[in-house]
Amino acid sequence: MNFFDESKGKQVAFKIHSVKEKVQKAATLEELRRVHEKFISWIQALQDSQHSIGEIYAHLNETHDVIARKAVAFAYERVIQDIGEPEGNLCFFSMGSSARQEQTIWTDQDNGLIHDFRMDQEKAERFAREFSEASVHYLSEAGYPLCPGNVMASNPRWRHSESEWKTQMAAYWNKTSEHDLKYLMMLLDTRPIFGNPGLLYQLKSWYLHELRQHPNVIMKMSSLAGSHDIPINFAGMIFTERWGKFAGRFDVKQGVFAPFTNAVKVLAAISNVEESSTRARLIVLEERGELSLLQLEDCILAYDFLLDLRLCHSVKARENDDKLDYHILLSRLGTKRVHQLKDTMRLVKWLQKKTKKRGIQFEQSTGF
Amino acid sequence: MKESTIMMYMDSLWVMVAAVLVIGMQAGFALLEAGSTRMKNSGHVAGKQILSFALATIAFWAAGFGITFGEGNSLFGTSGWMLEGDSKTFDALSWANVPLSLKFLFQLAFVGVSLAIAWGGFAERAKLSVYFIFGIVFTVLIYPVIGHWVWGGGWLGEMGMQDFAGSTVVHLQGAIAALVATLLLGPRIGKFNKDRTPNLIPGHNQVYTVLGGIILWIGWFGFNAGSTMGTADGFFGYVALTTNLAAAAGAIGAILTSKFLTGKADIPAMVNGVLAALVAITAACAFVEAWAAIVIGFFAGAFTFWTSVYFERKGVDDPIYAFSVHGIAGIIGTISTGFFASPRLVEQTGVGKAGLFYGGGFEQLFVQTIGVIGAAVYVGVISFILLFAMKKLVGLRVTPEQEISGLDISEHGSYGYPEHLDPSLTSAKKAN
Repeated sequence: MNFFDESKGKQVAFKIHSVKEKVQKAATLEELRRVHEKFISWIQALQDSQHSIGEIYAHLNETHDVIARKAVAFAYERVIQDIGEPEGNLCFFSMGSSARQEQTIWTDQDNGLIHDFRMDQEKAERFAREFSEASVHYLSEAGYPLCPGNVMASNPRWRHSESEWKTQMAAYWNKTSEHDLKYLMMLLDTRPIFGNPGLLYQLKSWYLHELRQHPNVIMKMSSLAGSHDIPINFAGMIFTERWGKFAGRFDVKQGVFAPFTNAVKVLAAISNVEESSTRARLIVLEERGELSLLQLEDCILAYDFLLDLRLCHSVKARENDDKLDYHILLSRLGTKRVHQLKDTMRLVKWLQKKTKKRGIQFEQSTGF
Repeated sequence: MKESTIMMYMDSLWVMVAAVLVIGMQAGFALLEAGSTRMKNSGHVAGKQILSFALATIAFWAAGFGITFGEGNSLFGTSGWMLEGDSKTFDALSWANVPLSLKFLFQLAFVGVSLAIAWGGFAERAKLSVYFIFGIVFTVLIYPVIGHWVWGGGWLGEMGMQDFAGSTVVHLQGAIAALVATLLLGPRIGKFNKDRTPNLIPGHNQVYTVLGGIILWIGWFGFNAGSTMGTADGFFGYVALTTNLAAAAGAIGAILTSKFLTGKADIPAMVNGVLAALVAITAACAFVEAWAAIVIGFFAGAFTFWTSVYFERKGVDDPIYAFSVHGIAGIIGTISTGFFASPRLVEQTGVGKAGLFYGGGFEQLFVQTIGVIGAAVYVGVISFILLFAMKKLVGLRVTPEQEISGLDISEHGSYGYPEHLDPSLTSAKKAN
């Protein structure tokens, strides 16, 4: 590293430190929001520095976590002021990209709540509801838009006591409609944000254990994860949107990123991997012999490429004040990155096939 | 009974059957176009086929047939108004051993098809009055001139242009008029976003579209095979064979291309692929070997799917892809004989020369290209002058309010699907 790089590195390190310190010191939602809004400048600095994409995401998601934790803590304080402290524990948890630690600069909320309140049911429900609604509202104030699919703790579907969660999950795997399977797959991506993490970890362990007792559900999940079309043909031509406001653009999220993370998620569930981040899941899958070292390297390379693509697009959208979406113009990617994208899409196709095959094998091996 | 008399009876019967098949294609267009457009315009889109054929019938009888086939100069016929004339008036059609009334009926069916193609570019936003004015002018001043150039003893026919049943005369003409109309009318409301990205405006009934395509495919046996206008050597059977092979290849070519380019095997694209292939083989059906018909059909079906996507991305709102299916495919078909015309078939038909792939050199290719350019320029210029003048004087397009409420109600006062669209009936249905 020459003098210039070294000096730049120090500046970046200082910026990271400064942002994290500001988040830690923020005493109001407004302050949290202000720091959140300035993410773009230090992320750009990180991108220009020699940090790997994994490191950038680690810093970014760590900071998102602190903001979210503080916003939810503010909500908790307000609710206990209004209706008093609950008897028992709760855990407010993140889902989706936040749970997988794949948040970019400005992402929608995906969250849920689990509790073991030992109080009158009506009071318990009231506390859970008011706390969830306040948390969702405060997160929104801190700059995390509401989830358009309503996957938030404010929705009763995603807010339960421990036993209710178990009953709910059992209902999903007894019915196994496409919706039920989607809900079950969403529940594979959970990470504690606030409260007692043990509640969520216990539920996750129980869920993975029970899931493995229902190989037909795993088989259907793997089939669902493997059935999403990857929009590339045998000659390597990538399909772009034909109509609508994104005509001519490629949907990175639906076209390749979600199928990738879904396949890894189900493969991890088959192998009883409890980790919630895609990177950690891949590493454990290699340790358990599900992937070879070479395959792991390919997957990590592809994953980093996709993370980079998402982040660059998200930064650009933020700069232009565009509503966040993941539709990109391939012509602006450059030849090298288009080739990388094609390789990644082919890898995802392979991962999907592998996931489907492992789902069938798992069902057959358990003799159900 | 003399053999020649028997042959005349046979030929007449064949031409009558062929004419009815081609007139039956109006039903195919009605279904194809109505199925490919929205419910609120369905009655209008289907019903205007009858209006169109009615206008064409009277205008072609009065003047169009005379300009096309009447005795005249190398640019247009100057006699034979209302089918009147002596034995030399319609010399250009003397090779067909059938009564004049049948010659007229068969040729009228072709004008009807050409005009139906042109309407594709007007779909869902043109005023009804435009159909009256443009329909008559197209039948009298546009179609007959090109028809005369190629089939009526005009300069292209003299050069040896090969257009057996009208890839250029019928289809390219209709398509050029459709393109001019679609450009002058502008896109339908909601077709493009502010940044010019296109939106999907799906047709209301894919089954109608498919049925329309099948009816057209059947009608094309009258169109191409009927263009032999005789039964003597059974050559019509060969023409029917190449026609069918091309259509089949077009369907496969289009659906594979759709899957290859978009990831989805689009059904309307397959129907358009059949039609594009039929359009392309229309010029070549009597000049090319069976294998070449498959190549031409496949290429036309595949390539026109790509052009339909391309034109849409470039901001052209051609609701039923008339320019790609009839225009681009018409060009492909006409040019194709310059490459594929086989010496054996050229000798049999007695028109033009063998194509490039059979050692015939570039001569036929040149003639075909000149024919395409000449026809396209003439139709383009006249259509533009006429439609531009109409746009300025009477207006081409309905008001935005009328377009949004639909042409069924705004132009005709009743819906094609009243139970679905008429507020008084939909509310009554809900109440029940």
